[in-house]
Amino acid sequence: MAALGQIATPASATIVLGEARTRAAVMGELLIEAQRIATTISSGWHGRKMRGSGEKFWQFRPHTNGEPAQLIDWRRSARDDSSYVREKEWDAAHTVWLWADASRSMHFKSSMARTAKADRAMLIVLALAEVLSRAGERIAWPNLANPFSSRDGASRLAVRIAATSLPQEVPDFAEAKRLSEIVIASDFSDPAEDVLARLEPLFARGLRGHLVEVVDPAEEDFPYYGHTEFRDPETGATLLSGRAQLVAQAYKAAFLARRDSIAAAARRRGWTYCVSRTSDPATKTLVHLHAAFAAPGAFRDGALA
Amino acid sequence: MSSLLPLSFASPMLLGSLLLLALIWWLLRVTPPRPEIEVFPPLKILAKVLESEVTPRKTPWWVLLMRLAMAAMVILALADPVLNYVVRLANGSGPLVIVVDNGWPSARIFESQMRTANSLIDEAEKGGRILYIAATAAQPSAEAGPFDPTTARKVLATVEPRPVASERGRVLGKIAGLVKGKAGTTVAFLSDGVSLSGDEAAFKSIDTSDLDNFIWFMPKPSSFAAITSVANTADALDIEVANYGPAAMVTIAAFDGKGRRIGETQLVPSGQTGHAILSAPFELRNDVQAVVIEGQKLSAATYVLDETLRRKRVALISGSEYDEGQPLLAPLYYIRKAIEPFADIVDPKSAEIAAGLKEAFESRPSVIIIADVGTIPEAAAAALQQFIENGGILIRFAGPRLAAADEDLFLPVTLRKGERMLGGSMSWTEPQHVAEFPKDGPFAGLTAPDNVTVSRQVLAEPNADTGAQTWASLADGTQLVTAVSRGKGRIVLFHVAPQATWSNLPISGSFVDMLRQTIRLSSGTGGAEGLNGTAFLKPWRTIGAGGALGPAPSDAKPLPIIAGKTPVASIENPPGLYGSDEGAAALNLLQSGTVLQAALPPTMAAKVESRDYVSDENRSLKGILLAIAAIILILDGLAMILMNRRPMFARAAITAALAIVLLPILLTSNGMAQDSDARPGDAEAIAAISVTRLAFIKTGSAETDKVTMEGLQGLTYYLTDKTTLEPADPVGVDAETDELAFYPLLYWPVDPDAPMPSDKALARVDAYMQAGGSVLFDTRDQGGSSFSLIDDASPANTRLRAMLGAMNVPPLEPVPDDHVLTKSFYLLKEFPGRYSGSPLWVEQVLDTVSRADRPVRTGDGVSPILITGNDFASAWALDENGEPLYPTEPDDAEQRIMALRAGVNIVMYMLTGNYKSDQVHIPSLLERLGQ
Repeated sequence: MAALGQIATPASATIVLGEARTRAAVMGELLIEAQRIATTISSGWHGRKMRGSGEKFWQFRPHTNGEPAQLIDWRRSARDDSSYVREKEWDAAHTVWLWADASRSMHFKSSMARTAKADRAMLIVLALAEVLSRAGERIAWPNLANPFSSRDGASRLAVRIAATSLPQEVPDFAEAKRLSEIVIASDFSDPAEDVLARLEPLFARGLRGHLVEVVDPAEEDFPYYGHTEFRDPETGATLLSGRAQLVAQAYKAAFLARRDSIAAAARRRGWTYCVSRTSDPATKTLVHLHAAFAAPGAFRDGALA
Repeated sequence: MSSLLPLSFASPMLLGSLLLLALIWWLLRVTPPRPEIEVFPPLKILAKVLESEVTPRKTPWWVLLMRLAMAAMVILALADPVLNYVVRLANGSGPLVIVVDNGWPSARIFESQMRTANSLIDEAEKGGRILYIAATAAQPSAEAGPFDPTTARKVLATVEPRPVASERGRVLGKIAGLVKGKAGTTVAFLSDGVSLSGDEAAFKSIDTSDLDNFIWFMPKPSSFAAITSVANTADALDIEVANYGPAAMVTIAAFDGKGRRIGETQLVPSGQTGHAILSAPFELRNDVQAVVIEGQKLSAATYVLDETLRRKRVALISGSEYDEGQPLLAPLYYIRKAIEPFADIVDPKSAEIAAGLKEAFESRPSVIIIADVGTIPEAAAAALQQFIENGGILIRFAGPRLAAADEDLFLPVTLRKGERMLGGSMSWTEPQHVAEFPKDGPFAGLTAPDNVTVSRQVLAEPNADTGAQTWASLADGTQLVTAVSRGKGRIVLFHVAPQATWSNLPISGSFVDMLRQTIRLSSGTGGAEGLNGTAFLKPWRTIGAGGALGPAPSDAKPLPIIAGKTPVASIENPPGLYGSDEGAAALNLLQSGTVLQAALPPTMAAKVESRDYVSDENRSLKGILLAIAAIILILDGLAMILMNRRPMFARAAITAALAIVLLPILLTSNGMAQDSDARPGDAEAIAAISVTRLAFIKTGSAETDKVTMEGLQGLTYYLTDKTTLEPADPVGVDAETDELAFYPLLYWPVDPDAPMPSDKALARVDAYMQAGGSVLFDTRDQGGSSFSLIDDASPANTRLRAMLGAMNVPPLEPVPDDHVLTKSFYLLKEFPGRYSGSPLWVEQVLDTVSRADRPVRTGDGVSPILITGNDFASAWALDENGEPLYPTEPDDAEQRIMALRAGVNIVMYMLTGNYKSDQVHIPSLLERLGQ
């Protein structure tokens, strides 16, 4: 019987180049898919619901004395006796730093999953980029793209990602300013303390962020049975289990405990934490993220600060 | 390998490979099953909860055992073990009596019997027993023992199935005498499975006090059939068959004396006995010598017939007329009714006696019955005398005319004038009964009827000794039936009239029996019949144990024929034909009414043990062992799946494995090969009949054939051009070899220079003509001399006459003006070819009347023959451009067109037949339609 899980992307001698090429190959698909699911997300959250400088019409209000005459919207005012001023909705660009984990372990895909974890992470990030770009937000990728605003931000980001090899460690987001938000999609498959050790600097800098744990159902449910040798795709370390089904319970408990501790730590710092199973549709996660972004406090804090 | 073990190996060397098992065991012990390798990214988390099991897992002992067993099975299978069955006997040292039931039914199981007997001898040898061997069908003098094993085997080798019934009683009695007083006797009875009437008494005869064990060997249930009697009825052979076991469909075939197959019939399964009807013409049925159930190598499946069973042809002659309205008074009425079932009756048409006899002789009867004819006419006397001398039987019946007749040569006795009247108002005597039939006469086997009285008879002169023999007499001693031999034949006289007027004998059953007995005596009875006392017939052809009719074995003795006693087949007289080629008596194994039943183990005081015969064949265990190995392999795979995989996958795997195991069982392939009914030459035949084409018979002369081919080709062009018929290219056929029936018309140029066609070719063309084909003969000699039926003929004409001499040619006439040939396509007056002037001869249309209102002479069919001398082919010959190849004489374009039109008319005539002549009705048809 074939192994349950496998590394989706074949490793080669020039892993970096190979990965880049493979990513370039899949990026197009991911982008299309990301754009598709982005359209399903309502983009209502980006409006500030207040007047200010922006492009979109907000309201007409009567002209008050003392205001410059050029504010009057003559076209509207000509319809009756009073003068009106056209006000625009306040539209302040926000910077969101995106990052998807592309390490070896992320390329794991079990037979129960729809896609490899790395692909799922990239998909979520790109979909988010699409949504954000359309909303006029500035998006950025550490060490790859400085914050920029563009209607086709997701495409431009995808082109850059495809052209380079991605660092496999969580970057330090050194260029991220205080009010920026960070989205990290990874499997966080190391023990909780290791993960938190890496995230702690980010927490400490007062950055706000969203952690997306991409998990394969095989990792979560542990459906292994019988005499099995487990192998770590990154380190090559192996573990032999005579009757794998016996450790399933303990493993699941440890896995969930890890998740809980990371999530708890994140929430304590105002970060959100969500889980994306590769067996579930990506939109589920995206809706969740969308809700997190749209939460009243999220941007207002930054905007008003 | 020794016979101690029922198992032997074809390649015992391979058994050494069993040592490999140790190696396999070691390998399985040291190499644990390989783990499933899984990539698992959160290994570090797993590592926290899982202390890695470093000790390699051991193969479970039962898996080890299973695999070793599998390997052992394969090695054993490769050594090709063979299981030979043997008989085991209980321990004991008493004598062992082997009784081989080798009567006729044993032929089908004899191999098993021998194997069992040999096995029994082996057992006896081991146990140190004394052996007795007896066969139930053997000479009474045959030695039965005691034997040592070596001798016993030799004795056993001489036992073979015999084509007679077993004498179980006699043999068991003999054995009982031999082993009397010997304690611990074991009797092994190798029965043939068929019950005999004397069985119960036979098994009772064994003294059970000394008997330790009685082993009854019974063959496996099987079915076979045997013929118990064959009767030659009016229109068929009625074959009575006894079935053993479940009745099955059998094929019964009849063969003549030369082994040729005359006919066959099927017997539908019908319980214990059945009747099969084999229909064949009378002449063929008389040739039947043996009736055989096909596919059964049993002597009782062959039934031989002798002369007596053959149906005789009997001519009936009567001098007196009778009223058609009173058939019961007709002299021949009762005779006819009596002999109809077993004889074929010839009725001369002529009422005149001499002419009637003459007519009767033409049909070559065996017996002539003349009823109440006073004097045989002088004209027929010599022929009748000759008939009797050659072995014919003349049966005469008395009557008023005979009583009044003068002296007659054709009587066994000299008759007194007038008849004697018994009973009646003017007589003191009472009507007489029939006395017991004389023991030496042909009626010896019959019972004298006590209800028959004779009130009138003709009497013989008492003192005239003519060498006559009295076959039947009345109670007062006067003759009823007398006979005398003349040459090879006989004259038999019934002293009563054939009607019920003189006696009621003709309406009694005895009359039928007496006539049958008498008719049976007719020609070809090689001496068996009509003998006084005992005669001996030497064995001629006997039925072997396998049912084949062959030369008699050396120990067959002459068959004693005792009048009135039916001979029975015995070891000295095996069934078959006794006598000689001239005439033989048939001796058959089974009597009519025999029922074949399965024999049951006897009931007796001693212990009776019923056993099966040892199996016919050694059984190879290779397949079984390999199958077991395969099953273990599957089980092993299932076990591995169950041990290592998740339950969900295991279930799927079990289902799949079961499907793999069961599928071959469920999908029993019954591949039926479809027979092809293609035969060689099919393609040619299909090509020949797919398209209509003109054909000619090759004369063998290249020049003639070339011209003919061109001519027919030209006619083909013309036909295609002018008519809806589009023939394919013409062909030349060889009358001797090619199939002619495919072509409606054969053009046959007569070439006197070509070799004369062979008789075979002429016969085939004749048959073709008889079967509806037509031949157009062209003598092509009109330029020289005309075709004529008078003598001054041309060479071609002479050749044609020679050819037609070998054929059946109908009367011919030149085509009459109103013949349909003149109207079948074009309206023609004459049929010119290259020459003009020769008429076209066709079959004369007989019995037709030319009517003024009918433009065409009507008549059925198409003339099978057309003869011309005008050389049609040369005139028809056109090249591809439609230009003529040969000039006509005189060179006249009109004549060529007429020639082609004649050809078209001939072809149309051949293809449409009298259809054109039927068209004369069209005016009246149109009239009726109201047009």
